[in-house]
Amino acid sequence: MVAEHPVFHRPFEVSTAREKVATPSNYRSWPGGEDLPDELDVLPIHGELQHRDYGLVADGFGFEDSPDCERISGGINSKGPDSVALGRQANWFLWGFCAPPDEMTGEARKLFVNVCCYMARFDGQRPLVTKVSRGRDWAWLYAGYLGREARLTEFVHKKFPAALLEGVGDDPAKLKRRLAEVRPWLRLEGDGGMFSVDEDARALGPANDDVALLDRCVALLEAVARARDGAGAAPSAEDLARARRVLARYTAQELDSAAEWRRWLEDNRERMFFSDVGGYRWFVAPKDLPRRALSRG
Amino acid sequence: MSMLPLLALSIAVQAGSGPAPQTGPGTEARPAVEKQPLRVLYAGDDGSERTEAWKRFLGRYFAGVGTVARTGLNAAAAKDFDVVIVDAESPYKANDIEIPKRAPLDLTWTRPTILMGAAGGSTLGGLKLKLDWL
Repeated sequence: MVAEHPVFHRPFEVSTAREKVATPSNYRSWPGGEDLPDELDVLPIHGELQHRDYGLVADGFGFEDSPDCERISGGINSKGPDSVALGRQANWFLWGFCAPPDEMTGEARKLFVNVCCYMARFDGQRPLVTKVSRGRDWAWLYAGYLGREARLTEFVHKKFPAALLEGVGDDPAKLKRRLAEVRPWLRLEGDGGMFSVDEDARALGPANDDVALLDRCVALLEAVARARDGAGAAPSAEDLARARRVLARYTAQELDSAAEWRRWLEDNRERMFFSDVGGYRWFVAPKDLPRRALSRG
Repeated sequence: MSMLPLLALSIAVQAGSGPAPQTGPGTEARPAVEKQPLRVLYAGDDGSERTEAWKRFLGRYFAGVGTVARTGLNAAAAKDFDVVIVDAESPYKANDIEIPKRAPLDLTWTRPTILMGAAGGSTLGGLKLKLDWL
């Protein structure tokens, strides 16, 4: 829970009093779940409901990889500890709880009023990305399935290429270590596809979600132009081909010359963001995008 | 929508203490509070007990409150409101589960909108937003 978020403070101050609940056992199998304490501090939203109902949580992996999103709070749920129970994407807000107002706690009612007030400022906004893939942290959850039972192990073999699984056997810890080595260059094709390692990006060095990779690619194109003018050595044909593939793969731009790429990069650098969920590529945020209530590191 | 996604839904509820005594919005005996200068539209199930409960609650805290059937929610219905809430009765019926019909919104929708529970889930289905259920 992001306790300093405005929805906990304006116009009504929501009490910071928390209750302890046992950490749900299902959280343990999620990335980071094994490190959680035995009890979690929670803000009660409602008691036992008069009518059976259910709430919702959204996928927390990669949720904030676009600047129009805020993960404000999780909620005790049947998925995992990173799931989103209170979150915003542009003009849309998920209030994941289902209680009617007369069954909500007083603090929850304050919170709901605050959420309405907070959301009013996002009139006219639209989401910057749609969910066409999943955040790379899913790879660690899938790795944990390895060796559990036949159908899950089979599933893992459909999620990772043979090269990543080679020598791993049924040991999830080995697969997780291997994933950690290649994390900067992981990709997932579509929502239900297979994780892969982008060998082009890996050969060039910087992570695929680091703008330094684009800088490296543009620099390679510029080196060709300089070499043509007799200033410096030309990059290898292999690196040049990699650079062109990487630029096309991660930017959705169809530019040609080094100068064009440099101009595009410098014009947009301050507003660029990389989204796994949006399809493992860079996007350019609009100039008038309202800032998040809180900056994220 | 098949039953399978519903059964796989996450439960984002926290059982805890009941409503707090007279300390926040929504408590009947609480003195009147200054209303927030916002107009809120609740899009739920026409005439339902839940809709009435939300209407009463929102009416205490906001300058304007309206209701509309969730399936009839559109730009015209929302044009005079600052925030829209999409909600529904519980999908659990006597011997069945009935997923609420979605609010017919798409990604051209720009009104601030709060999605709740099962109705939020059904409305999110197909929009490909990050808020969609796990």
